[in-house]
Amino acid sequence: MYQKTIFVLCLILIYVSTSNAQDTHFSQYTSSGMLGQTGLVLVPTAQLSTDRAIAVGWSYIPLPSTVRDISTNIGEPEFARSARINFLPFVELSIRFTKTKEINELGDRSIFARIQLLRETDKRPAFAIGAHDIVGQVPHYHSFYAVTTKHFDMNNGMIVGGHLGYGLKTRDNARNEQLLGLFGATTLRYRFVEAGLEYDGANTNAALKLFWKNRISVSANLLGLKHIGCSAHAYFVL
Amino acid sequence: MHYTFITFLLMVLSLQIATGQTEFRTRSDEAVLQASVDSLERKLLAEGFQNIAATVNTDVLYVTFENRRYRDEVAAVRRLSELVAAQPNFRAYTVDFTLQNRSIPTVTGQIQQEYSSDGGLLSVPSDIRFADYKTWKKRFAQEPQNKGNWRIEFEFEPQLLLALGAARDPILHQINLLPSTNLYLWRGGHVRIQGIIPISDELKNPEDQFWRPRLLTLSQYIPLPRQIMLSATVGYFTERRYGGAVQLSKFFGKKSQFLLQANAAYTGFASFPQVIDVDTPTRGWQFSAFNYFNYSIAAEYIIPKWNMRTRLAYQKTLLNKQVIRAEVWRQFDELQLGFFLYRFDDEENYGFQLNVPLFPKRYPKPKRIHFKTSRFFNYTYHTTQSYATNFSTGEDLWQLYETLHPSFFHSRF
Repeated sequence: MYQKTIFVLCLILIYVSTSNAQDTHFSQYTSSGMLGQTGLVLVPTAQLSTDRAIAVGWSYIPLPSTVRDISTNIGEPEFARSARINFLPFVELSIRFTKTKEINELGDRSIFARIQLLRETDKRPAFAIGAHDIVGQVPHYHSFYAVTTKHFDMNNGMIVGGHLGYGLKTRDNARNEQLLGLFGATTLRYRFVEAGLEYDGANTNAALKLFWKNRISVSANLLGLKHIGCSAHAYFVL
Repeated sequence: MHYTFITFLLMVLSLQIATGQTEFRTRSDEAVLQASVDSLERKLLAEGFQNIAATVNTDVLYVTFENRRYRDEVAAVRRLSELVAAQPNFRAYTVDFTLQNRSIPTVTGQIQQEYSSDGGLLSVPSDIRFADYKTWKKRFAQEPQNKGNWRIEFEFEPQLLLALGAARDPILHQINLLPSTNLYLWRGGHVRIQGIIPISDELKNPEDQFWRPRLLTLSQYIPLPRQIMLSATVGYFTERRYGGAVQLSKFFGKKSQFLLQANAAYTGFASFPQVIDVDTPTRGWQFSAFNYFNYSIAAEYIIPKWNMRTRLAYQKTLLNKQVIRAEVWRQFDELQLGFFLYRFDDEENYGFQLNVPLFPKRYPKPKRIHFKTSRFFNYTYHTTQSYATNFSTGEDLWQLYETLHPSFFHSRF
């Protein structure tokens, strides 16, 4: 089942990369992380999408990076569906349904909220605060964090991004190790391709993303620099 | 001497002739303008608008109408500006429009017709505000065309309820059809008869298997000066209540960006089917005496920049719960998304509400009897199981204004 999923995603990756051969338009949408928020893999960035933007997505997180049960220390690979909206130009809200074998078809619900306090300018980085999974019974990837982002245009079409954040645990029953403490990422974007490396507070992850006409992005991720995960998102504006 | 006299006579005669010709031109202009106004009224009539009246004064064309044709009030005004632009005599005119609902003026404003750099005609809205009833009544003293009173409208609305289920069937649904008969009486008067027809049900509540009434109401809106609106509704409400309710609303501020609202209701229990003291729900009505008084006070602040409404309310809901409720709504064109949070005792609940516009954008031309779908499909999602239930009378100020605040008009036009 997982192999079939990865195979299909590889096909999508191939299709997107070949169909973008003539695409020179830089994606106006910030990319989505595997949790549904704006970010790289698990690390959120301080960027927000354009106002009224909606992103819906699906992700597969392999075993080592999933949340483990506190008592048994056993985790399960996770499939998650997410939906995100820029309710205001500076407010992003997401809902995520995380499914494992032990959770029913709908999945465990998580709510993420982010507020961008400072927009990025030529001289100033963006600054945002966010709360992941702050309500609900079982938190996944819970964190209350602040993050800053700055991009640098290399004048050859490449844009380098740096992202740095710090997360706090405010729920006793939070089971994740990611996004707690210091985390950060660096991204390199060229036209319809983005590559990145991140430290999520527990593991180092890498990502390769492809965008198609500001409507679809697909991402192949290497979690812990060993385990393959993937995600796909679709974007539109209300 | 006689030459002077003859010259004087000729001057007087010329003056008379000149005056006579001027009067002839004015009468002709007025006739042409009135013919254009009549032509516009006929076009508005053909479009299916109701309560139509139009007058013209210097460079301003005043038009009032009630829209039951277009799903969106802004679309109706856009159509009006198109019809006016198609009239050559009104090309340079400012259009002063006033929308109505239930024969009550709601939103008014002006459409400036300007020529763009490429010669095309642009319609630019300005000075959009809530209508003043007195001014409107004075301006449109004539009998309107195609009156909207004593008309029947059949409306159909889908209802979806979802609940979490067991692992095998994680989402349980209930789909109902809510057919309504709306009878528009006199100015502000309205009768609504709404039922619930079960279509598909996985929730399996026994009382939900019946075709049953949802709302049986008679309501009256009374516009008062200084942007005050009073409404009263009697009848059978949701959540098995019957009785009477009043709502008083007032807008404040230069741009009407503040709203204060107070509601009070005195109700009793009424149910169809019978559910009390029976083993299973049974066809028939059950009533109790009036026994419950509840109320709410709310304040809203409108943020035009983002077509947003923020609301804080304190309310006494059913089961004697004292609730503080906060809401944030944003309009994305016709779609509305809101988030709410409420707290009572030591419990809280939060979630979102979605109003999705329903097909079609334009309804069939209304006749004495009119069929249409409801404007929106509503869905509310609660995150927790802590509910503070309150009944609905089916009437609300924002419904009268079709959720159109004047400050939202510009961005949507």
